[in-house]
Amino acid sequence: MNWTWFHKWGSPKWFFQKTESLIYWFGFLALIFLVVGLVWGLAFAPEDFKQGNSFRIFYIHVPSAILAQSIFLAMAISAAVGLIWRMKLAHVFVETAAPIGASITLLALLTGAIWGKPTWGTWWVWDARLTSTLIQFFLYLGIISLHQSIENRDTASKATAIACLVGVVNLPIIKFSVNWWNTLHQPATFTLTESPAMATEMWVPGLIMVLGFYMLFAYLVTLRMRSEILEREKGSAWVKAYLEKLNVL
Amino acid sequence: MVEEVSSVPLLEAKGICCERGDKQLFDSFDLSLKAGEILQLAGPNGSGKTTLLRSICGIFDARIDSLVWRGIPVTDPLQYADELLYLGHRPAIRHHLTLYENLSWYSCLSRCSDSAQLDQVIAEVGLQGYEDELASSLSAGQKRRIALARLRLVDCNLWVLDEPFASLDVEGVKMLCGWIQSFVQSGGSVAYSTHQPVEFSGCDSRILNIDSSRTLNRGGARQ
Amino acid sequence: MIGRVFHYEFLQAYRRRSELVTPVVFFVLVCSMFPLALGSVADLLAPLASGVIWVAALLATLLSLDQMFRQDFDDGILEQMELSEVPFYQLVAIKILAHWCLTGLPLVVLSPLLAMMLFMPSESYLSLIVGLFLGTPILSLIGAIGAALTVKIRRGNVVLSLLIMPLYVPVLIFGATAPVMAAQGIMPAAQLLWLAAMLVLAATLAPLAASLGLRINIYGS
Repeated sequence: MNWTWFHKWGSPKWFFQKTESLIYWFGFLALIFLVVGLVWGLAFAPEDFKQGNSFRIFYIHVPSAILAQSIFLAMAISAAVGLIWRMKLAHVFVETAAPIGASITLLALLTGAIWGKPTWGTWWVWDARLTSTLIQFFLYLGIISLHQSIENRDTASKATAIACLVGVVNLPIIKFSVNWWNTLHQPATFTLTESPAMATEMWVPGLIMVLGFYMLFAYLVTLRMRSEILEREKGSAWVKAYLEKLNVL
Repeated sequence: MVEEVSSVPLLEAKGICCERGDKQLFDSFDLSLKAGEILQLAGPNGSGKTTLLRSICGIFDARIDSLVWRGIPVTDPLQYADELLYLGHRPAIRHHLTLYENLSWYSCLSRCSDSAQLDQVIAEVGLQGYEDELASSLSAGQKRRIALARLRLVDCNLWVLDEPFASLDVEGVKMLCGWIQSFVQSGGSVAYSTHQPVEFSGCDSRILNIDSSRTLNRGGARQ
Repeated sequence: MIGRVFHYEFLQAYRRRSELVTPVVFFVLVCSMFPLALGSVADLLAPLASGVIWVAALLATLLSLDQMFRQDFDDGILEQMELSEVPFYQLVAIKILAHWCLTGLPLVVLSPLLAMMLFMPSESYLSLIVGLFLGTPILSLIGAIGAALTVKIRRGNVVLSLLIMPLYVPVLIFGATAPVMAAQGIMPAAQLLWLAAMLVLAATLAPLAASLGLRINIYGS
């Protein structure tokens, strides 16, 4: 098997040059998907027969909840790659994705609370999904604060990577225990997002929104990674050349 | 420790790259040590003496292209750790254990416990009578002597000493110099850093000046 | 040999017991604040007792974690351990065990006393003690990872708590619900078995993760 592609991705310079045009595609696709999904979901999708219009926050809540989990998983995979192959770019991904992940998780929590108000009558219910999302939010915060409080950059990267891996090993156990705890304390509440057999007109805009959220994440994380690379490699010749070119233009 | 008459260096590290913070300290730097050689690292503060010593011990995050011990590439870090003894500038003393317990603990770690030997070593470093004192109540120089006692406890082939003369009195410096000389004469090698001028007569010793070595890649030999 | 290493590890921790007793005192103190805040009615406190004791045990463990590696890291003991011929993760595991013996075990021993003060029903005692006996080592083991990662941060305690507390959620859930179930006359086997399973998992993986975390900090200094 040819591994050169893999090593190329480890080079910050190569990554920076390759994403130069790719980032515009991410941004463009994110914009299209989000606009189409939002307009379709909010204006044209049919009303839910039980919840009325309040269900429409589904189009933001569910994509953000899905994305928040995916980011955690992606961070953990990237952390493992960074530790095993000593790939600095993988660490850069972990560090730049963490604040985005935390924000998206917070978005999921807030939209969950907004959805909860008309459905349950309160802003917050210790529903299994909301609770484990809350704990996941705390995990993100812990990882971010760990990264920010270690001064040595290499040490910080690796420590963060280990924390991510420990977190990802624990996340299924946490989710399981929270689910179990939930059935123990409050039997049979109405759970968000578990409406059986959703109509096609209802879930297609949702799917588009999910794609839009993923593209938005790809755009944001590439943007952040690129600026982090510039910061880290500021002494190198190619960054100087790049900046000079920018000034000329 | 058998005298070896061979041209193969005891330790050969090629392509050492390490950075501290944003500063590149060494970039593909080569270091080799013959058996029976004393290598003194010199250079101003912050030049990377400690970093280099830690790198060859394997306790610094350095990239080393090839690390060869007696002609054989190092693959097992535990076995390599067995060959060398590192004394950092932190003396690694457990303050809440007594002097005797400290040494006994250390000999547990290096799997060579012999209580008769412990008493003898304590006498050798001039700390008899302090065996049951807590390490925290001893002076800095005495703590340094406890750390040095390890050199007599463990059998190995390479001593890596970071500022071993710090806070030692004249007697202590003389004692350590004597140890280094007899260790080298029996085939061991020593790499150490110091700011004090120390002379070893009749030994194969050289000074590696780290600040200039980055361009020269080799220090001037003295003998 | 391992036994003697443990002996010295324990001895050192024991001689610093004033630092280690503080979390235990804190545990008792937190538990006795609840009746003052909530009122001393037995019917009110009894259902809360196991939750209060578990949260207090969790906080007390968090308080004690900072002491686990910091001193030895600063003194250069850990780098000598890393260079020694005994595998590093084994030495770290011994350290965690010694730490638990002096900080976790006292919590287990004291828990019946606090349970009594909080009017816990007598059927719950056994599951509380067994749960704490299985659960506090998990708290120490997971906490060791956090302590290892934050060993170089000067005021690492806050970061440590933030990092570790979410990971304590399963232990807290299973540990605190076991006595509640026992009070209802149901055998809390599921919870206790889950705690035991998590203990096995933590005992296998946590020393490795903690030693990796310490190694990163040693290599970076």
